[in-house]
Amino acid sequence: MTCRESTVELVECARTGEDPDAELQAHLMSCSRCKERWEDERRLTTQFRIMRDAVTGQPSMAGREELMREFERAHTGGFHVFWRWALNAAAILLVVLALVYDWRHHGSAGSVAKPQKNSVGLQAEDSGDEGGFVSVPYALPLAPGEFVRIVRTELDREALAGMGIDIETADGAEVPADVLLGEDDLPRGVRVLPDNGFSNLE
Amino acid sequence: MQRDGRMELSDEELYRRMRTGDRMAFAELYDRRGTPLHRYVQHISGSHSAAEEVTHEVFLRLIKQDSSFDDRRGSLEAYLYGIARNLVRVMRRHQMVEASAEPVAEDNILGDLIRNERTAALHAALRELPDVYRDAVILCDLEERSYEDAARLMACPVGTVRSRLHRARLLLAARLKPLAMSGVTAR
Repeated sequence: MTCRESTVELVECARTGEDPDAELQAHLMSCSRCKERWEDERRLTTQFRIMRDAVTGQPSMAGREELMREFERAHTGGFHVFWRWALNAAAILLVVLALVYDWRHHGSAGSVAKPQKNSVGLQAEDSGDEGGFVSVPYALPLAPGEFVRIVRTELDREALAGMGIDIETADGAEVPADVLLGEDDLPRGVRVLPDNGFSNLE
Repeated sequence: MQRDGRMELSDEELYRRMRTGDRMAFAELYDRRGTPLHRYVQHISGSHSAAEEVTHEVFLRLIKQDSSFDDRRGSLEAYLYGIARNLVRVMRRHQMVEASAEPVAEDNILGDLIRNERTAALHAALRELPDVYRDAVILCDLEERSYEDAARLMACPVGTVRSRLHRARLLLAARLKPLAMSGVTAR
């Protein structure tokens, strides 16, 4: 047995308190250095046992109670945090829903009554664009964002001509037309439709 | 009955439960790991008050929502020991452990052992060992953990634990030799 081999074995024997086997004992008898190491290791094990027995402490009950309180607080706090986040999320959701609702209603009104966007500038001479509406003379302009309605009806040709709309009045019959009404239900614009306008409803 | 059920659960399962607010799971985890951790810190710091403080702090960190434990990276026990080691290191750096160890008679874990010069010398020598050697001694010789357990807690192979332990014992023996030669013996 070499000193290197014996060292590994003697440390384990000293740690566990087992007696060295015959081979190790023989080596210890013949090697003073290993014998000395063997004594050192045994002393060390004894000291470790004393140290081990001396350390009997454990965490205090007060510390335990404090930790349990901290645990409660952390999880109650977590609950509050959860609700705060939940309320924030709900508020954001409500805002989004309101925006979507608003967009759909405004959007649809805007798409049906394009003239609304330019109602202020909707003059008789502009009638060619903006959906073909001709503004009613002396009517108040639409306020920005004002809701409008379009009513399809039949109007007297004379009356339309009186508004400056270029229309044939000879036969005197009424013609189909879209009337743009503001929120106050007063007409703001008129769009003359072809004679078959009622059959071409969008 | 329910407590018995909890006792069969792994640390990691208890941790998962405590994260959902299970107070009893946390209590079980603390009762299971608190005392060994406290002893371990006593050994590495040499101070009862430091052990109390560090053990408390370790579990406090576990409670916090941003606890960084990840069971894919190791066991919860190894995580707890790792935090404790780091906290003691920080305390040492700020001289907090030494300061608390100075009024030895009442506060030191070795308060009733300090009369034993050799034990005190051994403890001092232990504290001066490099961390990895000290851990090997504390876990294997003072906490009587198996090599496998120590390897798990130290995150290294079993062979490494064994060689560190042997090396550490050699260093400690060398440090204690003058005392042995002078004839100081344990009481």
